[in-house]
Formats: sequence, C-alpha cells, structure tokens
Amino acid sequence: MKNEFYRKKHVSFFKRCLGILPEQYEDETSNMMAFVYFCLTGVDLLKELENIYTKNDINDFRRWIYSHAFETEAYFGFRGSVIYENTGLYDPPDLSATTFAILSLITLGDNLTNINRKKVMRYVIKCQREDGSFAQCLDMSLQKPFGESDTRICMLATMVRSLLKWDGTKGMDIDVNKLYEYVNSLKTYDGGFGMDKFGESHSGLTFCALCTLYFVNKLDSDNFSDTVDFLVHRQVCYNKYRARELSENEYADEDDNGGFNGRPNKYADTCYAFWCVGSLKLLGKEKLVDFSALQNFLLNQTQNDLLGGFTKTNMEEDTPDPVHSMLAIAALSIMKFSGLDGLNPGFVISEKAFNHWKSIKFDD
Amino acid sequence: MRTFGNYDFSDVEPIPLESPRTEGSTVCKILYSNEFRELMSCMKVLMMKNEISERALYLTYVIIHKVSAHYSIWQYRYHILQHFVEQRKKENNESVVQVLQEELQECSKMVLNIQKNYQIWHYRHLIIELLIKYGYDGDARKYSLEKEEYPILSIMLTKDEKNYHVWSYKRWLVKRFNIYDSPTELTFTTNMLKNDVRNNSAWSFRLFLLFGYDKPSVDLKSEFDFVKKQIKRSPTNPSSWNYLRGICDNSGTSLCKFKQFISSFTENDENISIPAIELLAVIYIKENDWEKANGIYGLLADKLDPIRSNYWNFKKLNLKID
Repeated sequence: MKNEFYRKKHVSFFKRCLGILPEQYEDETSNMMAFVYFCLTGVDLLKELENIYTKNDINDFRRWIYSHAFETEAYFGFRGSVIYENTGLYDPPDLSATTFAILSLITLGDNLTNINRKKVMRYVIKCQREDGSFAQCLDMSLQKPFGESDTRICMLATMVRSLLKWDGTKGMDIDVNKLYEYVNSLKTYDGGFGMDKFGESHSGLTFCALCTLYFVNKLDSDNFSDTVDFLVHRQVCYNKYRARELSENEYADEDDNGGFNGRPNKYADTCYAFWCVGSLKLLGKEKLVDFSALQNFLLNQTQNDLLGGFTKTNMEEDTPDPVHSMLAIAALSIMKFSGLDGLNPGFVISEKAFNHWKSIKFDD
Repeated sequence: MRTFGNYDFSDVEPIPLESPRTEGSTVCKILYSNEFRELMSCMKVLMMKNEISERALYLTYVIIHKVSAHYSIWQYRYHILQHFVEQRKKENNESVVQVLQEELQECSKMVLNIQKNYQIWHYRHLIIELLIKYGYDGDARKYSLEKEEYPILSIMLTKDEKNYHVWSYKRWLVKRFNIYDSPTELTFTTNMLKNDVRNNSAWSFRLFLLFGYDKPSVDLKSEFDFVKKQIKRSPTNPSSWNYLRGICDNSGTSLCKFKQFISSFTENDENISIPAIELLAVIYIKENDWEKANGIYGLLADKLDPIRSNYWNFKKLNLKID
C-alpha cells in the first residue's frame, strides 16, 4: 500500500478537463456547466486555483459561465450548454446548470451582481410541483414543470435559494412546508432516502434529501439516528465474520473494504464516499466512520496514478472523470487530509469560496 | 442533397453550432465531429421553427442517442408526438393507438441503448398518459401491461437486476395502475429473490407492494415465514434482516417476537451473523436491558465489526446517556 496522493497529477487532470476536449465528450455536451463546477472546485480544494490560473484566465471562466445565462422579462437562469441557444421554446434554463454556474462563480470570486435573483427565484418557484417536489426545468410552451422529480432536484432548488440568500420575505417563495412533507415521505424502512415513496434507500439521494432539509432549516440531527445507521453501514468490510458474503455475494469484493457503496449489497464506488461522509458531516457525525480505511480505499483503489483524478470503481477499465475525482477530494477534505482546503458540506465548495459567499450582498 | 436516414433535409439551411457568445473561448471546448455538427445544427433549425414532422421525429431519435441528458430534445420529441396524436384525433383517424404503441416500442429501443438515463423513464410516463387519454378515452384498464411493459422490464432487469431506474419505474407502474395486489408482482419479487436473495432492490419492492398503499391486507404470517426462510438461506445477508425489521415497523409487530429466532444466529462464533446480533441489541434496548446491549456493542466494536468501532462505541455511550 503506497498511500501516496498524486496532487500534481490531480491538478493537471482537472486543468486538462477544463480545456479543449476530444469528440468523445460529445455525449457530455449538456453537462458542461457541471463539468466546470466539478473541475474548478477540485482545483480549489487542492488550493491551486490562483497558482495555475492568471486573472485573465479567471475572467475567461466567468465570461464563459455568464455566456450560458438565460434571461427574459420573467426569468433568469443558466443552461448546461449553449448547444440549443436560440431554439426558443427548447432552450430553457435548468436548475442543475443554474446551481453549478452560481457555485462556480462564487469559487471564482464573482460577486453575482450580474444575476437577477428575483427572476431566478421566479423560475425556481415555477419548477415546483403540486406535491412539493421540483422539476429540473419548465416546458416553456406550457410554463409547467418538465421532467422527473426526486431529492436531487429538491436539493438544487433549495441550494439556489440559499446561495441567493432568499428568505421569502419579498412575498415570493417556494412552498417549504410541502417540500418538507415530500422529502420526508421518501424515507425508507432502513433509514435512507429513495427516489420515490417506499423506494430503495440510496446514499446519493440520501445526501440530497438531507441537504434539502439543511437548506430549509429542518435538519435536526437528533431525528436521524436511523439514517446515520444506514449511512455508516455503507462502509464496506468483508472480514472473516462475513466470509459467506464474500463467497456467495456476487457483488462482494475484498478490495472494496473501506470504501462506501450506495445501497446494501452493491460494490463500493468513489462517489459514495462523499455522499455518505458528506451526509454524516451535515449531521455532525462524520467521525463515526473509519477515516483511515476510507483513505486507504480512495488512495490505493480508485486513485489513478497515471492520468491523475479518481475513477468510479477499482475495475481496470475505468477511466477517471471530474465528478468522481472531485468527490474523492471532497471526501478527503472532510477527513482533514493534509494540503487540502476545508469543505463546506452544504454547498460543496471550499471554505475559502464559502467565506467569499458570506461577504456577498444583494442590493434588490 | 442532405439526408439523414431516409429523410431529406436539403431545404434546411444549417446554422453554426457554436454560440457567438462563447467564440474564442477554450473553456471545456469539445471538438465536435463533423457528423455531430451537421446533425445538431440541422436539429436546431427544426427546433427554431418548431417543425412538427416525421423527419423531425426521426432526427430527435438520432440526437437522443448522441446526447440523451438534455431535456430539450425530450421536450421536442414529446411535442411532436402530442401534435401527431391531437391531429389524428381531430380527423377521427383510428391510428392514434398505433402511433403511441410504436412510440413505446421506440422508447424500449432507446432505453436498451441508454440504460442509466433519468429522462427516458419520465418520458415513457408521458407517452403512456397520452395513450390512455387519446387512445383509450381515459380508461387505464385498456392499457396492456403484459404487452407493453413486462417484456421490456424483463429484458432490462436481466441485463442489470439492480437497475435503480427500472425498479423506480416499476413502482410508478404499480401505483399508476393500482396493481399492488397483483399476484404477478409479488411472485415476481419472490422469483427475483430466489435467483439472488441479496437483491436489495427486490426486497424494497416487495415491501412497497405490501405496505405502499393505504389499506394493506397483508398475510403477515406467511410474509414472516417467507423472510425467515430467506434469512436461513444466507444468515449474513443484511438485506433480508433489514426487511424483517421493515415489515415489523410497517405492520406494528414487535421485533421482540423474533428474539428466539434472531438469537439462534448469534450464539455460535463460527456461524455468527452480524446483522442478527445488531438486531438483538435493538431488542435488548427495547427490553431496557442496557447491560446486554452494551455487551453487544462492545463485541461489535472490538471483534466483529471494528471498521464501525466509532459508531458502536457511540451507540454504547448513548446507552449510558439514556
């Protein structure tokens, strides 16, 4: 076990992903705003943003993000890609891109003065459904929410609201009570949260549920002992008392020990390290898991020593990607791994970026 | 002449793919292939005009295979279908059902190519609703799950028996068509668990079938017998133990009723089951037997499950606080 952290390679990995990309990335076109967020936050957590980019570069990023802005008389938001620009009805902003754009702008030191927060909130409010959940975007011809609903999108909606320091006192707000009821209804029998009522618990959706409750000030950590139980049990450990699991469970792999899975009886996966430890951090209980076993998994199983970055799993054919790379570093940051900035677990940005956000004031 | 598939697009004046607003920027700039450029720029022109046509429908199909994560393309495809159907309905054309059944077939083809996509399942909901509304005059009973749903779901779950999207979609179907009581569904989970007793998705789905609606009429005895049998098959599998606790909670049955059963998996060091011993601690707590619960947490922390020793020690500490 080398336990080495390939810091420089990670910086280069994110830098490469923020530049010119080969055509293999075509299918990721609409996720480019997310791509930028994961890479910039990764570099920022490595405390290298100002070292590898000049002021001009930083301004280029800001310009690029603002070039994805969408504004009409009524609404303001961001698109994930300009690929559908000028297609009228088919060019709506979406809540993912809007969240990732604002988070990235904060990391870049922007003061968000070019964002019309009232119009953003009008759009967010429109995306809320009758049952309290949210859709990613509107069907612009019907002005109705379009697309699936789950805790991911609830998290995005409430995160945007918090990022814009919106408290509803201007007579316009999301329906927090309905949202609260909706999210609570997704809790399952083993303590996690699922995608729908009586669904299957899932660590990622659990993080999004807790994050939503956190943003609307309804996360009382005393009420989640069953959720904590679900989360700590996601840390994989096949020891001699689980020998039968190792031989009979198709999804059991000793190399996964220390890592986290998303659901019972699944393989460990880098991103769940963050979804679980981040969830526990929101509840003030991150220290209940085994940090050194998790670090061992991340550093020796999914860190890529050739290209930099982290892969999803420890399977050989996996290649690193920005999402898993950044989330691995975010998990390491929660564990106070040396040389990394601290992490704000709600917004999932660096402490430095979070401090900048705190200083932002909105005039309207 | 410009053609895609069997359709002619010669009349479409392509527009540049890149926005003038990002011109010159190298931030995450993808070097699109020529094929992608041609397809996308043609698509954009049709979308700008909101063209409702067979060729537009065809092009959305091609684009969905290239970039499935964007909502716009799904919205456009849905609008085209909706217009087709409304038009045919106005003309009293009887092909409405056929058009939408074909679209469901197209959906199935698409989902086989893009298995882990969020949008496609929601899109399928929309098409089913269109079919019920325009094809079956609002009568959902006319929609054949045997014909339209079970074949594709079976293929999908054979490819990946834990596909989260597929299970979630199955729950939507059960709820939409109110078939919680369907023997087909319960037998389905029984068979899935027969194949792999560790399929947590199948366990969750089973609990949803039994308790996911307002008036459960559950044969609790046979359900408890079922889960006990599955636990005996593989006593260290956490999913079946979680399920036992889940049906206790949902049916208002005390876990303490199973004390003897649970204890039988905790006595012999050779064959000890960690999930069982965890549940035994829960029972001791319910019985106010702090000392025994304390003993179990100590055993878990120090010997059986040291990776969670911080957690078990925290549980111990909380016992003392209580």
